[in-house]
Amino acid sequence: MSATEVASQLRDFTQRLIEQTGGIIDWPADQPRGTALVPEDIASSLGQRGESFPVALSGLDAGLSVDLGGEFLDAAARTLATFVPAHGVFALPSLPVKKSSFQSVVDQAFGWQNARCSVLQGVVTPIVYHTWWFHVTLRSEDIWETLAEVTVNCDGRTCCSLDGLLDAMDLQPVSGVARAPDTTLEIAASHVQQRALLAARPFLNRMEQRLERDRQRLRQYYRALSREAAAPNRRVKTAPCPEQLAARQRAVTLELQRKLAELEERYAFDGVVRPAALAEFRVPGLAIDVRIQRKAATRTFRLFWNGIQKRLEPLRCSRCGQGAYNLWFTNDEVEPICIPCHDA
Amino acid sequence: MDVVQLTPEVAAYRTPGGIPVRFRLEDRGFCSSQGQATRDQLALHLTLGRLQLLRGFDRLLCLEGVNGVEHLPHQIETVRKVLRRFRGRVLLADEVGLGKTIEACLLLREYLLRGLARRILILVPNPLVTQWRDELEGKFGLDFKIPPRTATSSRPEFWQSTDRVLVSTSFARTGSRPAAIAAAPWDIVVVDEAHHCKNPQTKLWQLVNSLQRRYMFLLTATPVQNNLVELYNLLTLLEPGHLQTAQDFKRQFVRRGNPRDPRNRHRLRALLGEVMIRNTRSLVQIDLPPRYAQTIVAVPGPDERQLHDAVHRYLRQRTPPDAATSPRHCAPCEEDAACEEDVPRERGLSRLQIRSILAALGSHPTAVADSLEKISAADPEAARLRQLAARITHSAKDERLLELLRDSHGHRVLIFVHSLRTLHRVEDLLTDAGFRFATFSGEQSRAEKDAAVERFRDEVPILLCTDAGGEGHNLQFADTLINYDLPWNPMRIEQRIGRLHRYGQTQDVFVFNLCTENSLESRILALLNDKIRMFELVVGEIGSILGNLDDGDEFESVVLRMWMKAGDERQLAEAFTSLGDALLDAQSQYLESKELDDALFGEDFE
Repeated sequence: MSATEVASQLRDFTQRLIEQTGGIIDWPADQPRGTALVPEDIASSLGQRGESFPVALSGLDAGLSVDLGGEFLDAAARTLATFVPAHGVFALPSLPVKKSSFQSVVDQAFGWQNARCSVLQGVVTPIVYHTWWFHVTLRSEDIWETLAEVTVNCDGRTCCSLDGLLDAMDLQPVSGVARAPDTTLEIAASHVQQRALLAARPFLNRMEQRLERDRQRLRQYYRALSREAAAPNRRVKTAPCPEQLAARQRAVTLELQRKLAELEERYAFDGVVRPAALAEFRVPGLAIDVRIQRKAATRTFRLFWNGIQKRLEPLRCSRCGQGAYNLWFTNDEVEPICIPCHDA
Repeated sequence: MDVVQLTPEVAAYRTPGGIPVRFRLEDRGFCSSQGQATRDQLALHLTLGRLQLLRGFDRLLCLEGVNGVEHLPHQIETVRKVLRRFRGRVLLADEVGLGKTIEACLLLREYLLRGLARRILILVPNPLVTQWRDELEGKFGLDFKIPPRTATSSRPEFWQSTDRVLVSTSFARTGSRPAAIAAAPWDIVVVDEAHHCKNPQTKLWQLVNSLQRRYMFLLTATPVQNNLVELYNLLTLLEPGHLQTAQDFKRQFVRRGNPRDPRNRHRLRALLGEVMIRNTRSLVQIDLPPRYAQTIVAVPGPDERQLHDAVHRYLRQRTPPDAATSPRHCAPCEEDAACEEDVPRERGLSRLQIRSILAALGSHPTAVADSLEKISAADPEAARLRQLAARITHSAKDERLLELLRDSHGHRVLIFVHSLRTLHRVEDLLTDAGFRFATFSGEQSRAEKDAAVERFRDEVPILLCTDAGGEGHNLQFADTLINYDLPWNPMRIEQRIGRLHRYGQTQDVFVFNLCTENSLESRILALLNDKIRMFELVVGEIGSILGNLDDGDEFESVVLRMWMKAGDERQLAEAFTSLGDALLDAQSQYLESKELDDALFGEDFE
């Protein structure tokens, strides 16, 4: 991205920020500077003394300096977190929903390894999804960051892919009680960690290679030092006494251990997953109740027909929390278990 | 990827190579926040997230929000190299004057802005502490704490709880402080004039080696002072094992009988290229036009002479007997200043007061009257001197300044003064004499400063300014500089000259230094000009020379201490002679190592 594009994005973001926080801004596109007028608490959050202040992309003595390098993004993040809600509720008005031959659809989608499944009923109902956006950071000797999106079915508690729904043309805001965010936060965060680890694989590999090179260099160096410590001193032409030799080698070994431990500490990855926004989507769909029979025990589960992806969503493994289509069940509680957990 | 543990707040994994990966979920009250967002509001949050990612890898963030720093291509390239190729551990060995300090500060800023570093330790020779502090604060907006000269700084807690510390090497290596400093983990350690770490037997080398650090920048224009093994010792601090063991290194690279001449030169250069960057003038094609300096001694009139003598007498009477001998091994810090000012001395003045009055005396009688204002309320003798100073409206330097300006027709002239009081006085002088000029001082707003520089460029031939003078503005269109008064610190003098004699200057530069006959400033000028020919040195060389006076104090403290210790003018002259000899030694040391480094690395080392 060029500097001009970045500047344009920053300017656009600033204008929207000021307007969304109840202020007004006069910053014509052809002018390097503009003026903003915001409520006092917003001004204070943005680090400004008065309600009215100049804004510019650079070269400001006083006012809001809009750039990537200074305090601007931190002040904007603070202001957004405090004054602009990051949790919205929306609904899609209508979608064609499949209503017939539930049993065959369910049998095609799922593999019931040790149980029998029978469909009880299918109900047309809005399915509630939480789409989370997370800022994910991995720090080691270098840093890797991404903005990741993940959607969780609030009832099925499994992750599914509904990317881009926020841009849907016919999305309607919904007023009323939303599902509590913390019902899906952990599921989404856990999923996003796994995805981040996959996406960051080249970065992780690079760090591993660097670490290995550094370990190798240190080991060679200290091995050589150890050899030299054992060698007789050419000037005095006498072999060192065994105690001295042992002490020297012990010191070298200890120093190597210390350096290697420092190295491990330096390279350890510190990951942070921070929620950036949450959208609750109410999407028309189908809830299909099924009865699972395992030996003498039975249990009812609700499956969800995803009207956007046009397929059934998986069931949640009771052990690892991942969604799965191929399932085993426990004898008494009829808990679903995915294949990897079952094999483990 | 193996899952070791998975809990809601912290999940731990290991990469195939065994590096632990820990994830934390930082909610920061997200779930408890109120209100329902519109689509636009959510989009705004997401835009912020994307902008935060732009802080990432492809752009240098450090270049924005920096004051008064020209972005020279070789400096930017160096920052990029250190970030990407050198992984934050590098020996920056640019030739003097090419901006090693700037490069290090840009790197610090980049690491801080990216969140890759928080705790930083900067170790510099004592005479350069103030210079570093000024650059860090003024140009890069980075606040660093200088440790107080109290027992606090010997406690590990101080070093553990202070995230950014700027400390002189002599202070850091003394007493129990090395252990306290080494006990604290640091993200970045910077060592300026790192050639002082050439010997592993020294306390400084051992201190630097013991530091827990993630990144390290060693700065020196002369990495090799006497023999190649010094280079080995330096690089071992940076990357132990990179040059293998000392014996291996000697075997491969040091010629028997001549430790200054390397064997396997190409192999050595290749190895050095992985840990060292050296920009040279010829490589970066920076060649400045010559500069010429002239000292103009003004002979004071009877009143001014009387004031000069009376103030010296008064200050000698008020100098506490132990003041000159009290140890001052570290750079000044805020705590010192506060301490010295706040603690009243029953029969004497504080060092700070003495220094301030002496500096005012070197500037203008009105500045003396101003500096005596507070003291004169309680001291009748000071009140009398103040009256005497206030009566002198014209100093001998005023006349010489006007003569110089009349002779400078056709040139653009920058006049530096030390204090605001003197600035106002010179403003009156120039107005009365009918000169057209602009004024630039720290008390002006940014817009006023911009306007002053614009006027200087387009309308008037003279810019009158304080030491803040023109920082952040291109003044290379001017070619003449007049130091109406003189800072005691040579680094500050060089900063003044550097406003004109810098990258982009195409004309010869003329520097005129005004001083009053037999003043302290005239002695300092004689020392710097006659002994080490400071005004003919390449920009930056004075820093390297002062850096070689490592065990010394800040230069102005040295001058003050000499003045306080000397009972009369003869003793003062002797003290200045000794200081001159020490400076000459430091200069010879610098020149010798420069010659060796030039021979060793050539002009094309990259």
